[in-house]
Amino acid sequence: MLARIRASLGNAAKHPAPAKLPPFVSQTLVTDGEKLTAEFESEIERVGGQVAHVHSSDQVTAYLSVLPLTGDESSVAISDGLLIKTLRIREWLLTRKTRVVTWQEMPSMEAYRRELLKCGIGVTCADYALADTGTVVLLSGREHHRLASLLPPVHVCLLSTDNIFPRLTSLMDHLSDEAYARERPPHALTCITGPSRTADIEQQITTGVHGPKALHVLLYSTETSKA
Amino acid sequence: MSTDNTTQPESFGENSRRALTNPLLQRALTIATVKATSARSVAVTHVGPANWEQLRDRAHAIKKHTIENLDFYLEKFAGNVERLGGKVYWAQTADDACKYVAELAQRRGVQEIVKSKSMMSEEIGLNHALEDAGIKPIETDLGEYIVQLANERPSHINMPAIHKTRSDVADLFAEKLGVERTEEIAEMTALARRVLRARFAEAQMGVTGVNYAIADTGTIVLVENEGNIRLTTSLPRIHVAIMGIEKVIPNLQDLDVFLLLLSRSASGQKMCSYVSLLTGARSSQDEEGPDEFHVVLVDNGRVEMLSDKQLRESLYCIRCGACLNVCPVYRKIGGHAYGWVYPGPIGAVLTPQMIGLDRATSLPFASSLCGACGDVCPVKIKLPDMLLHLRQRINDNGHIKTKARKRDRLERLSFKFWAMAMKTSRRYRYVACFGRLVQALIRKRNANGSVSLRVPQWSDTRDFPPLARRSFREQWRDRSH
Ligand code: SF4
Repeated sequence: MLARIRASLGNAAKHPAPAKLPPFVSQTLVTDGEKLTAEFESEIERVGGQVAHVHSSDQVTAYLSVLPLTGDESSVAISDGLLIKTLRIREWLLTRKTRVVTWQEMPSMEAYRRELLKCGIGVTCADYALADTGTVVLLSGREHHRLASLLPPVHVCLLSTDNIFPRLTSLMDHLSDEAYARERPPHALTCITGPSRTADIEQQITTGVHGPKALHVLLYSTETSKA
Repeated sequence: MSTDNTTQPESFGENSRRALTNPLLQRALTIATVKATSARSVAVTHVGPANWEQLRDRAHAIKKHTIENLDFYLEKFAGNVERLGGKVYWAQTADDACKYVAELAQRRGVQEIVKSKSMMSEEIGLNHALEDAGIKPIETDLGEYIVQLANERPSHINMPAIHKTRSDVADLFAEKLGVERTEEIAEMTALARRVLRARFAEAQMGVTGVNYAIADTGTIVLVENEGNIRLTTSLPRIHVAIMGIEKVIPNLQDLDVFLLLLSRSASGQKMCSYVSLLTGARSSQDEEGPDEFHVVLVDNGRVEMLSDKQLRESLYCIRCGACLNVCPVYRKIGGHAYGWVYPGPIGAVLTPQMIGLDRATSLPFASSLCGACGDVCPVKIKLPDMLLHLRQRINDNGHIKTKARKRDRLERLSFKFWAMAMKTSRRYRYVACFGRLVQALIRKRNANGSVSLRVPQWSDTRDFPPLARRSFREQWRDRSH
């Protein structure tokens, strides 16, 4: 097929790599850390997500404890993200006698999936976030958060405020030199902006059609006092 | 190509008349296209018109550059997919592509396939091919699921069920799913979720399209709001992505511009709910995701479209649907009237190239040439120019029926006469004077009470306004005295 494409385009059989397009600079970026967090917050609320600031394990568990768990979906799935481990979320859930589903404790992928379908809440970390669209970004590799962030009807996402980028270009610049420059780039990168939605019937927006109906982002920073 | 549908591009006139007399369709179309168009305008205003132009220029430049070097970027993309454990299949025709997917499913003992919305799958008629091979395809995008249950074709490229009202959907669900009828949209959506979750839990193979393919990294990019693409690409054991060869862009940095343009042009959103970047097969047993990853690169006439310098730009299309929503013709007749997979202005350009000029002679004429499509297109495809160009080709190739050609000659003659009459003001005065005298002979009163002239053929579908009793010059002269 390549030969036919070349013939159609009138390109020579072995031509050198085409010259790159000049870099593109558009709109100015917010870079101030404070402002980034504020922008991220207002954007995520605009698309129907909820945000809270947390600084300690207690605050996270207090937030989780008020989220309802009912009927068939009474288990909680937690991923193996670093922040989840440091904040000891699993230990807290066990003291409350909640059934906890984790990837590590499952005998097989099938079993894990089956259990996930019975979870009411999925708790994961996010690797990055984008301020201008209110997006959280999950990168596969270190953490098993692909399914835990998708199957349960409620997704709670922990995010360190240090990892907020102004917008997609800045993150892509960063990742192109880092994760995607490796021999083995990340298998899956998922950008999540608000809950799952559809407008397929009479253009009326309805949430939770296939993915989570609710998205809660817990912005974690170590500083304890905040105005 | 889908064959179960009643409409064909050949019967465009008849299809449109039927659409125009269907009040429910008219209502559904107006609601949807007005909503989408105004949401888009608001989004563009937020970006700022100057910035928006800059983005469109950039997107156009990237597409132009990539298409002109498509051999290079495609080779690079395919090389990377294979290096990272994916399989690449080069399909020259629609049949090749369908056969590959069907045979793969058969070899792996798969009986049911979950699918996400893909125009490419519609174009190659994948569902039919799968059914013929004894495999059940299940559409999982809500709109596409509705259309599949109704045994229809999507009537818009990203709002597949735009032609259905909530009550249509309620009837359909009650009949096909055997549930109690409800018109509550939230309830119908929840029902679809339940039904489809059960299918997802079982599915062994998932088929998706591709929005962008990144040459540099071998990554495919999928954009959606519902989450069914995420399910389709992460639950089944096998993932097959089908894409037209024109979907490649050079690198990850280029993605930003397209994402900025796509969601805003399609639905006025800043960013769709989910964007997935999938690269190769998973790297270990420990990682989530399918065991097998296949990419099917489809030509199906595209290589030939590349050699056509005048129409090559139609391969820049990112399928946002904006040109459909603003098109005064699409807004009235909807997608099914176009009779093939791609409707609206972009469909009027693509269809003749894909199924043959002779089968789609009406489509390039289905435009008022108002230019709205070209103005909104996020990648600056010169749609109106292409429509004109195709009209010329249709004419030159003699695809128009003899009766129409005769009219054509008459029309040309009239315009020649008109041009002659307009040459000097004196000639114009005489002709106008003569016209005023004789126009009474062909005057007619319209249904709404207005008066126009009867000009054979010409005035069948439009008004020919009569000349005023006194010319502007005459009136002016009287006033200034
Ligand atoms: S031709 Fe342009 S406006 Fe129309 S669907 Fe394609 S990208 Fe969108």
